[in-house]
Amino acid sequence: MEYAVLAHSGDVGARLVAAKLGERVGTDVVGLVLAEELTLAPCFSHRVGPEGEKTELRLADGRSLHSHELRGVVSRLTDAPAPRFARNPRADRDYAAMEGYALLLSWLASLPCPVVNPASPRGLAGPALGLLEWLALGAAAGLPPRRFRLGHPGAPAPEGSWLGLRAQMASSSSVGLAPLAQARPGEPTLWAEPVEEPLFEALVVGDRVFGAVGHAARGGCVELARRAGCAVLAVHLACGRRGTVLCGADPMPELGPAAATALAQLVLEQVA
Amino acid sequence: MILLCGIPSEEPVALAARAAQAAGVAHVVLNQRAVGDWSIELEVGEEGVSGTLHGPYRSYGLEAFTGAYVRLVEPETLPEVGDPPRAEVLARARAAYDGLLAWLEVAPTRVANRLSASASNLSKPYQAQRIRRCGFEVVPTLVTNEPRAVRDFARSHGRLVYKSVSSVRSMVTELTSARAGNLERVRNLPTQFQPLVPGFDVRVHVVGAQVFATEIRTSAIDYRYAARSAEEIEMRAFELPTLIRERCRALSAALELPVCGIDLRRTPDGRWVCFEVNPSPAYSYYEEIDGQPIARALVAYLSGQPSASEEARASDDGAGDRELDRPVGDAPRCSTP
Repeated sequence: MEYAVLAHSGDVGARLVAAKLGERVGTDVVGLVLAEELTLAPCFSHRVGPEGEKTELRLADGRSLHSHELRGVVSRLTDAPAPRFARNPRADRDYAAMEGYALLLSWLASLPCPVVNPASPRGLAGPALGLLEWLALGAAAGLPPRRFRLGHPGAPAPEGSWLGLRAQMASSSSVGLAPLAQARPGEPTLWAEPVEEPLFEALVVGDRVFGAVGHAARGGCVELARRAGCAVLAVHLACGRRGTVLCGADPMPELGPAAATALAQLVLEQVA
Repeated sequence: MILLCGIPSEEPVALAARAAQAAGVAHVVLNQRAVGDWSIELEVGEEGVSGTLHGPYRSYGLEAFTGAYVRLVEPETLPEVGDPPRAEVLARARAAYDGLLAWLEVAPTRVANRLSASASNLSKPYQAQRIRRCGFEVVPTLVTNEPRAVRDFARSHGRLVYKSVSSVRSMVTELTSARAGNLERVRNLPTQFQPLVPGFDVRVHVVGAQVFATEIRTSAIDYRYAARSAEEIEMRAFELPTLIRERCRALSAALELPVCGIDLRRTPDGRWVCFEVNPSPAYSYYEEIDGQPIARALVAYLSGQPSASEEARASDDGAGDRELDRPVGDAPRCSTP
């Protein structure tokens, strides 16, 4: 296998990318590889040492992903499933998942070929940053952040016009945060600047931006992706009183046919 | 003012608090076990992130903190949360934890260490790649689920040890001939194997620009568990060769871990091998044995003294490569690592 698209089952976008790559370079050298196939691979030997890194990986169906043969990889992995431990106690399942993640991270980081998005300790398919980090990074990239206030549990609403949301600081975006009414006792409140609904998405693939986004914001989105080390990034935006504001981002967005084509093209460009 | 976050009775936090007290450095100890006593308010806008930390007796503007030492544990593990967890208590504990960590990721202040930087330790072979890029010799490592590959590796390298691939703590164990009989079990989960590297251990603590090394002599495979196997262990302060000291500082800077514990081994033929970097070292254990002022350095760093990367930029003095293996002071004996 020369081009691998690594994904979880049900990732329609990943299947599209694999198909688009196959159209360009031939289906015989492109493979869609599911996370379970990786973690259940009968042969997975990963070497790190003074001489560098080398990995031999053979899947149950006979396909191989040897590090010196791969020319390009698209990573859509979020974790390392451990189906072999499904009936074990939770501690064993968690341990197996962490061990699997550690191996996949080291393997992906060691590959000499382009990997989109690159793996890092914060994510196998690009960094899973928190909301504050995306907003800070976005501000540095020229995207004004949506204003937020995190109030401590039970605190009254701040003065002015604010929208109450369930505060989940580990969330990467305010998109999808539940309304305050669904907050549980003891949870803080995330007060958000009111914006026009619905929020919209700019999908960055390399230097291309998909979505109805103004010229100024497009540059900011590409810069945000660059600063985050992502070739693929969904940037969540909204129209506020101050213009377009950043609400968060997602390094592993849904991919439609156009974005999948662009991603396949990007991988081939990086290989070239 | 510096912020010390964790459980006050835990030695690394307690030692840092005592050092701050002794140095007259204003400090706040955020007691994570006082669930409900602490909360954080944040405001995010074009001006950046600002906010307030509310404690049991008073509140602090976040901009007042020049540095923060982070020894927080997952809220679910706090006894105060209960087992099974009480939902509201857990929600409060998690709110303070998540809010604080979120702020620390973006705070324009010194943080030892940010959670994002600590993540390199999630994967030992990944971290080994980073370590190698900083000029250290790393140990040949095989992570595999193939018994035959392990046997071939053993034929090439001799005695092997195995350990976890991830940051989950595991005891480094020798693959003896008896254990080799169970090698088929690696088919269930890839396991990390390395040659047994002869020599003695040196634990290095980098704190900002300061480097403290402790020599560890024991016959145990994993000195942390020497007491369990009733093996003797000797530890004493150690003076690293300049080149290795500089390399440790460079590694600390590259990993963005201003405070870290670096595990080295000095081989009989004079090589320095680096095993891993601990992003949350229990430095107090070493300080209490060999007396090196690590806590004092931590407080000084959080108060504003130069970091390793700043100092490296400021003084590109072309550090020499003199090899000085000079132990410092007597070797106290201890039984509990």
